[in-house]
Amino acid sequence: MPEPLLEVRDLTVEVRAGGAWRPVVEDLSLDIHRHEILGLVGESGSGKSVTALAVMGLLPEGRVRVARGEARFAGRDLLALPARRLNAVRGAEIAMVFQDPLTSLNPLLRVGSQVAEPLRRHRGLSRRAAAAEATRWLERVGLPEPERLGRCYPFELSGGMRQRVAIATALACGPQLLLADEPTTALDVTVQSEILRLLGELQAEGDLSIVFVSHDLAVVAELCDRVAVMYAGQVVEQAPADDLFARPRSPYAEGLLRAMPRLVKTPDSYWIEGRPPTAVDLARLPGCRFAPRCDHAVPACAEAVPPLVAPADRDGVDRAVRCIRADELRLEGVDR
Amino acid sequence: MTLTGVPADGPAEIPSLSSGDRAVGPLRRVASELWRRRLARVSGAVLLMMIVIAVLAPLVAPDDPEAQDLGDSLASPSWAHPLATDQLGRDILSRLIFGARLSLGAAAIAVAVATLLGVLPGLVAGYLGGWVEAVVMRITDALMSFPPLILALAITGVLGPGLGNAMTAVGVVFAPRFVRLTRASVIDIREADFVHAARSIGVAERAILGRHVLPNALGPLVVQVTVTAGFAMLAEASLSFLGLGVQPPEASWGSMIGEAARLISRTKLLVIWPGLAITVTVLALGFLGDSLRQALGLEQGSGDDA
Amino acid sequence: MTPAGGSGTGPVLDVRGLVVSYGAGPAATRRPVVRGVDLAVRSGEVVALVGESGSGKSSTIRGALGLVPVDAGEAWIGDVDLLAASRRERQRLRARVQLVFQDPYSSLDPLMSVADLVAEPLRVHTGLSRPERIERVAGMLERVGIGRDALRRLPADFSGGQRQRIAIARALVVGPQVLVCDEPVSALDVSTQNQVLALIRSTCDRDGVGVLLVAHDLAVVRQVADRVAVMYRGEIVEERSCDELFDAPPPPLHPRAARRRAPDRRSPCPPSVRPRCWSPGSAIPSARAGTTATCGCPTSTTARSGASTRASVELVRWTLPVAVSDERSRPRCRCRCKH
Repeated sequence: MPEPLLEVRDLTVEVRAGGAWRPVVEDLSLDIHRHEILGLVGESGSGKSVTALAVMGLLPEGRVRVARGEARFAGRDLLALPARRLNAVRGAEIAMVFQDPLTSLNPLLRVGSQVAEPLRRHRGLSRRAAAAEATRWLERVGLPEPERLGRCYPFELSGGMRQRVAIATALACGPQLLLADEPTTALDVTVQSEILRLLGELQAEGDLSIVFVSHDLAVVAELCDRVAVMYAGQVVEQAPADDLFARPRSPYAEGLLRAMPRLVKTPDSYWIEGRPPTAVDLARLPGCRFAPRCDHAVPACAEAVPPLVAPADRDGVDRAVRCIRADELRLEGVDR
Repeated sequence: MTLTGVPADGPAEIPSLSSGDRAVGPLRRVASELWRRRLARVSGAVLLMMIVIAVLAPLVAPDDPEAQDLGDSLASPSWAHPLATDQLGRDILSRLIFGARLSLGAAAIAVAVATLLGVLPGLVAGYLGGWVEAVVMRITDALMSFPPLILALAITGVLGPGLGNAMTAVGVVFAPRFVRLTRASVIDIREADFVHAARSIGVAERAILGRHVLPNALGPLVVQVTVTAGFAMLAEASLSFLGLGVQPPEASWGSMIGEAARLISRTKLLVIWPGLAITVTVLALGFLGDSLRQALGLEQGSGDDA
Repeated sequence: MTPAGGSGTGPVLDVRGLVVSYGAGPAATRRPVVRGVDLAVRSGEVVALVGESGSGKSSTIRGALGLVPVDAGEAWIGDVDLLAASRRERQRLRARVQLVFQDPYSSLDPLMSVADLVAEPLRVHTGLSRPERIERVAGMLERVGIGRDALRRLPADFSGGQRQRIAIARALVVGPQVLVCDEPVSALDVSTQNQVLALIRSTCDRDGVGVLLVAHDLAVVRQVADRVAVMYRGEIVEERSCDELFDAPPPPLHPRAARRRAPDRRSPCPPSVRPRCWSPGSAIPSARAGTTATCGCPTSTTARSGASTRASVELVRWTLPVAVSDERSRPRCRCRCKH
């Protein structure tokens, strides 16, 4: 088994809430391998975006901090790198695409020069060479008339086109890892599928791994090889996408699958009752964090946080689940 | 399925409890946010102390500020006169304490005038737009194009000397900032969904303005008030220094600096005390405003973490 | 709280010939966003208005409700045309039509308590005393699944899904005949969308409220709508019942799940999503000189039927309108879809 591209170990991110530092991501460990698309799924407040931002070193100063943990990428711990060296890594080796293309692009710069910026910064290309390469990238991400569009400002483009520009900017220097933080959430469903298709193509043809953060399991289903499901700052299930969808092992994953809106009219639509605990609520939840909302909870669930372990009958598949009843429950999946 | 010690969840949901178990209104939330900041607590305490001293001046001051003792003029600091005396033998400390009344009162007048003159036009301009906005903003621009001190002098010249008139003039000078700020806030808010929602419910326009737009626009205004108060104090100091504000024998901190400046060759000490008083007060106002801004910013930016 | 006006007699909301354009200046220079839309909603039915962003869906409902200026058109609420009514009449009509907005984080005044928020329509339209209003509000909140202890809280204490349900409570508290929802679940997590949709559906079924729902996601529409109207570039190009749109008997080819790594551009387009039965490459039938005909053929889609995942559902993608100038030179469909 080759070494993973990115190894996150025991990452804990804390936020200042209610007068104390409280964890929003707790002891999170993840591996991303080469040529792999990993989906990081969870509801709002699960800590998925925070995880991605922490790895990139983009957490806002002041109210949020990385309490402990490491993120090893190509032999270096990103969380411990000084700012200058981290800047050299960002853009060149790891890149990020954000949710709202309207605010993640500089409204005052033309689109072409924004794609060219990392090329000039990291590869030292001249203005002309960078512009040419930028145009090639704009074409690669499917924008028509790339020369003309390169001279446009972001506000002149539609949401989908802006997100393509953001992807081009991120991938211009050929990074090995792309962190995509809900890149399709702000887009129309029609445009969503195009962007997903684009990401899939780019990943397939290059040496690229993607971490795809989303709250939408269906979107993740289309694109990802492996999926890690997060709840209240912890990973509660990790499995190859096919296996997760066919047979989830954690009640939360099963709930998410059942709650997905379908094209077929279901007689009784399902949703998960209640809401995820906030950082302050967690102080009063000593046991499994999903237990209050779980259909299968038993009193033992409230005693201690279950560990993330491989289930007993996993048939050689690399799975992990955080549920004390994982082995006994027969949960339903969906047909992909 | 309910487990002991775990919040139940049925048809009646329990919303997230972010700050304690009781429902707290927006005012209380901001206050508690403010209280958490040490800087805000310190500045607030300083300002409160200043105000209390000013109000209770006759009880606090050791001497009559106007009592002259020519034999003791320009004495060094001593137990009887901890901050020394001025050229007429008057106790500096007492003058400082009584001066607080004038300086703080002056700032209050200026801010009140600025707010009264500035908020309503800004509100109307921002909400109605069109020619109303154009007219209001052009008048505002015209006022702002005057050098502030010159404008204050001109207005004072019209109104006549005296602290009240001088501070009214300062208020007029600062009013345009309030107009602009209010207008900008209102423009921001009038596009918000909850304003459209109110309209779609059938709330009358005037009620929308008063119940929805104005309260939400107050946040930046409150911060501006604290900042303006600081500037107003400095303006009062300048005007009094020039002899246009406070008239002797009354003394504000600014006029004390004016007097002391003329005596600088004989004693350097006299300038320091009123200068320090102004500095500390303006700093406290500034820090308080900053903390308020942070506290309010959090209020508006609430949502989900991740 | 059944609305007056009966069910099934006439539409509770009837929009005719709505034209809305944006921009300043004379009508000729403005950009038309809604070009002559006709739409009707009956009591007890949910009509979904779907289309891509920019197709004019939101402008249609805002225009119909008089929230933005319209160039032409009528919007009949029962027997009164809202767009032709005086300001006072319009104000009163608002009690019959209520709106739920897309963004639950900005559609509730952040400084008002939940009680005051939900009671506002009652305050405006009824003469109830405050205790009576609070009682009604409490009852409505319970109905949408928010407990009584929410009354004194601020919107900031609630999640997106909860806020949206509070917004629905506010819309329903005054007993409207029509509920217009502008993408009510687009800003919510997928795991909670169903809850809000079920609430909307139950409102329609229980109280006979006519619902006009704007959405861009067909799966959402599937759960909730009776009829679907498809908008493209300011016009309604298609209108049919929800069942027909989704379950029309497909040809033998079953849509296959797109492969993960290399999404297959050639995956077949299920004709059930195709509103008109042209096959690409054929002549556009029955186009007369001087008219504009629109070729309708979806681009490659990954819509799936059966119990499979929703994933990327494609709406019908229309090519540009093709002007037919001459009977003899019938244009050909230039779709990229290859069957």
